Amino acid sequence: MPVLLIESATPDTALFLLLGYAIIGGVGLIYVISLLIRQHNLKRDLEIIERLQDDERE
Amino acid sequence: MDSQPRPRRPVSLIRAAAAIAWKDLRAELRSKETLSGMFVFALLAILIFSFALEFDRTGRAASAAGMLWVTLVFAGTLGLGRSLGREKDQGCLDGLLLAPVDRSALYFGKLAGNFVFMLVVGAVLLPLLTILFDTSFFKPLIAVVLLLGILGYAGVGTLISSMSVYTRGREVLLPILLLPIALSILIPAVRATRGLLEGLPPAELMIWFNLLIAANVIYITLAYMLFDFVVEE
Amino acid sequence: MASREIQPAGAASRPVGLTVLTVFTAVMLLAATYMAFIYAPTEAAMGAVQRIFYFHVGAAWAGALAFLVTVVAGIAYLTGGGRKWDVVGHASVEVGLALITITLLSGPVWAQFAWGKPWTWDPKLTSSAVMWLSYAAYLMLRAGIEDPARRGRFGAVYGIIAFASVIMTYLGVRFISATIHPTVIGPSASTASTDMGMTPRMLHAMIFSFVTFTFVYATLLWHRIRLENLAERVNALKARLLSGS
Repeated sequence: MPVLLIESATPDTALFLLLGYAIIGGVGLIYVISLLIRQHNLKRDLEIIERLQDDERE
Repeated sequence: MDSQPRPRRPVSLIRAAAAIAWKDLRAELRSKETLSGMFVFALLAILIFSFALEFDRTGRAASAAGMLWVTLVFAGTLGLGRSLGREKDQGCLDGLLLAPVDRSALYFGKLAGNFVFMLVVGAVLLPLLTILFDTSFFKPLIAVVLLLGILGYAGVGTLISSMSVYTRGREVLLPILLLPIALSILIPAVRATRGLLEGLPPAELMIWFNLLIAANVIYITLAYMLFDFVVEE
Repeated sequence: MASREIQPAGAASRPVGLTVLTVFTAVMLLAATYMAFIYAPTEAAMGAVQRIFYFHVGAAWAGALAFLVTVVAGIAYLTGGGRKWDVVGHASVEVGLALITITLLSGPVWAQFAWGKPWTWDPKLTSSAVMWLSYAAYLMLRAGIEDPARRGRFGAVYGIIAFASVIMTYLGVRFISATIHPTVIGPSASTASTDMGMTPRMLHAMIFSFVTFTFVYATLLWHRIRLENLAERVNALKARLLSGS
């Protein structure tokens, strides 16, 4: 339904504002977290490889 | 294929492209696999949409243009997948690439073949939809829209299907890759078709024809330039 | 992430520039949030929810920038630029897709109050949807190819075609409103800002949001590129290890 323009009253849409920013922040956060997780996994793989290489050398 | 002695000067682009296209068409004339698959798929699409959408008479007339292009897209995607798929599977791709011709001959030859296949399906769809939807598709400008739309779809589809054949799960990936791109061809094609079916004066539909032509030029030029990078080894 | 512990020998430590950039971008985000929530006045017709617009448009702009970068990177890669351009192009698509996801999900919340319905098929929305689908397809294409050289070439090619298609889709839909429907379906995002009569403070918040999201894009891109480089190093080491050298 189109929003009716009542001169005096501004609709209280604060809740939806929060919803919108929750979505924005949420998606952004999900992406950043995915980057962090991937980096963590790679660093861990790197450690394992280094350890294996050290084992081999001995 | 004929065994010819290696030509001393490179075969012209057009001759090479024509040879490639003719090879596909001849193979199809013999086996009729691809075309029959395309037809059956198109008919099934019409059937399913007709029942799923349950139009009344006015609904059917309004959706006729869309139905034409949706079914063409379905059938065309099937044909595109098979066209390059066959090439790669049978190792013909390497042979074609070794030939002393411009790589783009392969692109244009494949494009021509795909274009003809879709055109055949389209030509059959026109009378079929005229009957099923009780609205005449037999207007000369509709043929023009058909040609331009199919050319554009095959133009960009040939490039994209030449990539999807190299992937795991190629049949699944082709529509995913192609359809968002093809939307810019489909929008003007459907709009123009619908306008023509409704009897709008062609002058009002010029914008759609212009968009179709522009899309064709842009896509086919891009595809022609990029095709080399796809098939290089 | 910037750990004080000893880094494993293979991992490059994070360049100072990136740390500075990350901190700077975080500060800008906070400032932009302040401007969107407090500095800018409340819009009369829609109320508070209009404030979504600042970040929504900022993300949309940054997403489009990301895909433009992918086109440039693709051309550079195909003309012999080397693997690093492939890494840039790929990273840019991923970041861009995240940004466009933000755009597409935040838009309807705003639109419900601006136009009375969460979605229309106007040029900007349709081409945004096409954008999202195309670049999601880009990532699927890359995922389906094993040979890295081929992955790079195909990615570059598809990135270029996808960008062209978004532009043409935009044009195609733009003329639908002009010809078939003489009355515009609803104000598009750009006219809405002028229709809303943006006060100077709103404009400030909007411009600041544009700048902020550009920095957000650049920061995420840089991080993503480093991630990719790390992944390549790990894969190379794995391969060497497995081949028993």
